[in-house]
Amino acid sequence: MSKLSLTIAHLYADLMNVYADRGNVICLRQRCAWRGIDLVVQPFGIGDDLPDAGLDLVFMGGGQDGEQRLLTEDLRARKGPVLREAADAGLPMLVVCGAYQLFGHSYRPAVGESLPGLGILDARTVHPGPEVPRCIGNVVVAWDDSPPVAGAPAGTTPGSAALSTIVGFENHGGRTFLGPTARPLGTVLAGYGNNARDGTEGAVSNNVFGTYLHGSLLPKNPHFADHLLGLALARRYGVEAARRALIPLDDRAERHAHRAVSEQWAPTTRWGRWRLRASYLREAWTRFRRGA
Amino acid sequence: MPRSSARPEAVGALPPLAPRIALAALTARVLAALMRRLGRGGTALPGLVAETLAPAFVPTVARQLPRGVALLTGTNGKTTTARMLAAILARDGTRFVHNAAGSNLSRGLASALAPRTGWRGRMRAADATLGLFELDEAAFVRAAPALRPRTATFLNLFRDQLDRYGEVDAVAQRWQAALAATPRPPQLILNADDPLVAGLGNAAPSLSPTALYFGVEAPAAERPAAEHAADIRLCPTCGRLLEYRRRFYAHLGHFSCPDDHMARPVPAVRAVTVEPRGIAGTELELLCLPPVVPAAVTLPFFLPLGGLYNVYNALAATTTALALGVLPAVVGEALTTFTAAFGRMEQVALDGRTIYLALAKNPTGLNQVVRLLAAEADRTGPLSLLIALNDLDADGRDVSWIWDADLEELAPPGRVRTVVVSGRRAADLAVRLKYAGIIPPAPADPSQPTVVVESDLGLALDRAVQHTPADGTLHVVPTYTALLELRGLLTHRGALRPYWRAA
Repeated sequence: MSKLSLTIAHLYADLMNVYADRGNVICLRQRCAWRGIDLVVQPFGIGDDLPDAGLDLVFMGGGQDGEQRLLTEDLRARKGPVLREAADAGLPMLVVCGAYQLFGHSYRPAVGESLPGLGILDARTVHPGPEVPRCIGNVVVAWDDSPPVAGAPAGTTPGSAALSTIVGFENHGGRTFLGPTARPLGTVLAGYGNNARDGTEGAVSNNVFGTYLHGSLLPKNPHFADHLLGLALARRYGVEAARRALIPLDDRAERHAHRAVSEQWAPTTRWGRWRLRASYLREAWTRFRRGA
Repeated sequence: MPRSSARPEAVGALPPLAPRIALAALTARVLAALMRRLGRGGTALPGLVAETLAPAFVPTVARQLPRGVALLTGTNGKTTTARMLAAILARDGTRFVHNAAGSNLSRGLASALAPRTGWRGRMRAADATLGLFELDEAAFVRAAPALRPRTATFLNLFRDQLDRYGEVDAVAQRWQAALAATPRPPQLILNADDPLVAGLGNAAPSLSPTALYFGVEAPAAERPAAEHAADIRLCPTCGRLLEYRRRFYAHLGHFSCPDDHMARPVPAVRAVTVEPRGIAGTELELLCLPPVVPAAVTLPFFLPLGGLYNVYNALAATTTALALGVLPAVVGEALTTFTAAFGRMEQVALDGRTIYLALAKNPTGLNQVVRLLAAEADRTGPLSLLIALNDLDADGRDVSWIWDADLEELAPPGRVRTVVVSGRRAADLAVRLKYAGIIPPAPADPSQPTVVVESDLGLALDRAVQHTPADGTLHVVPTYTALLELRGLLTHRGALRPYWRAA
């Protein structure tokens, strides 16, 4: 069997890099390398045209406001049409934080007028104003799709089988509300999620995944990383080949990091719940002592 | 000892002091004495109490200092730079008050000032004539307008604790607003190589003295490619990407806007020779030009601290000292005998091993430490490491930043012998090291480094020491609260003196 190879487009890698989202690309590259799959990472910056074919995955991270403004026009005019068509054709994409907002219909900033987005995800984002606190903290999400979907080996990788949550860290001012055609990525067990109100986090449409979680997201969620790789492999080589190629890995370190977060913030045991309460009390006491 | 010129307009008729200032000073002094007696190194609590009793305590007392206040802020290097400046001022014979105990919030200033006040809450001139205060990025904004500093030194602006400070552009804007709100603008001392910091000089209010800049000119310091953790690369005026003629680390370098909106200013103090000698230090030659000195002078000396980031710290301390009227020769003498600050390449002896403590709290800081360690490994052989990651408030709750640092530099074979991973987020750190290629993806390969994951710091320290050869060196890289905890452990084991009794 010849060596499998995937190509991932990393959009605006140098501009949208503020919350360590490159960890997602490092994670995908290593998980491919450990399985003998070639992963070619192709950066696409401002002024670069996306090819109509040949891509297997698209990734874009979050950035600061100034940088986001700089690329909005390029994203909409130069890359938008290709991305919309590819999304309809089922190309897997992962967009995080600022990119998640830009992939929705519109973004209304704290001050100034509403900016149009790509409209790939049926979501609208509104910033409630500069004086409203940002949503910051650890997040645990119950992943709605954790049973495998279309050719995805998420549940078939032995090392990942037991994980049904997604964990990460959020830090966003905008509140995102989903339209009728977008499904949330999951239900918030701990943290704020899309808008701190309806208990949803992220958006999924076709194989496009939008989320606020970084941390970085994929290294601590190896089942989600493999889900994306499975979708990409299945599109290029077929479901059977994808299943064969995704050899189970030793994910003990990743699962340990995952569980450390999920058990701390969304404990499943009575003991864990007491520990969480105790940690809140301890935190309140330190804050009081330091006068914060 | 050479004496520096006094500031002419500083001392006038002192305003009457409110009784609550005196009360606050007294309470803080009693509290500090009590805590010392109890063996607690409380550095923030007395100040916190003083500020609660009299919110205007710090500015009221500090403004009595006849030679004014020198403020210092930035993301990385505050503590080391302030300590360098303190060493220079001490050698110069200046009496000064310094928040050396480590709290760089306003309450830390209050704790430092309270013991220098007399029974009526007045500053005793015999105790201190000058204030030397380091403030964190956010505390500077709140404290500067009321303190009316004589000089304000800005070191750099890197991404750090986005969950607490916000993004770097926002921090720069708040600094600018704080300077605009300061009556009698201070002498600005700015890093010429940091676009956002250098930009403060253009935006300064018209009445302020012309800013003094410092920067690196030595070609040896150059780095071919941009690091991942570079933050600001856009011109603040036109939003286009800045161009770099030379790049040192992160976004520090010789930059200019393609449309000529901004360019690196001409520094008054320059590092013209930088010859790294590993962890031991750096051979330096500084060129100081008017107006910071009357006539151009070169200052060659050995800086006993490794890493280019410490060259920037030395430049900032030198420029500030010269602006305060210290003679160049005194600066050179003081810096060449300098010893590291609290946990900043601090050297400790334990069980026959040498331990280096190198605080790393953000991607740029960690990159600098990693680069220094990689170079050290190439000189002396594979290293024994203890890396500790905590996620308490003082560290930043978000540990994502470890993915922005180039830990891959430690992956090539022969750089790491053993690594102990510790702290509250040891599991996250272990995953990062695994994906960086330092920890093998599958266990039991004898050519790979030994790895221990132990979230308890005390046990981790034991394991790390065990894994270090008997007369060898252990390099410890902790985040802020992990550093405090480790120093506590080392103090308990008799390797360190309590920091509130250290010099």
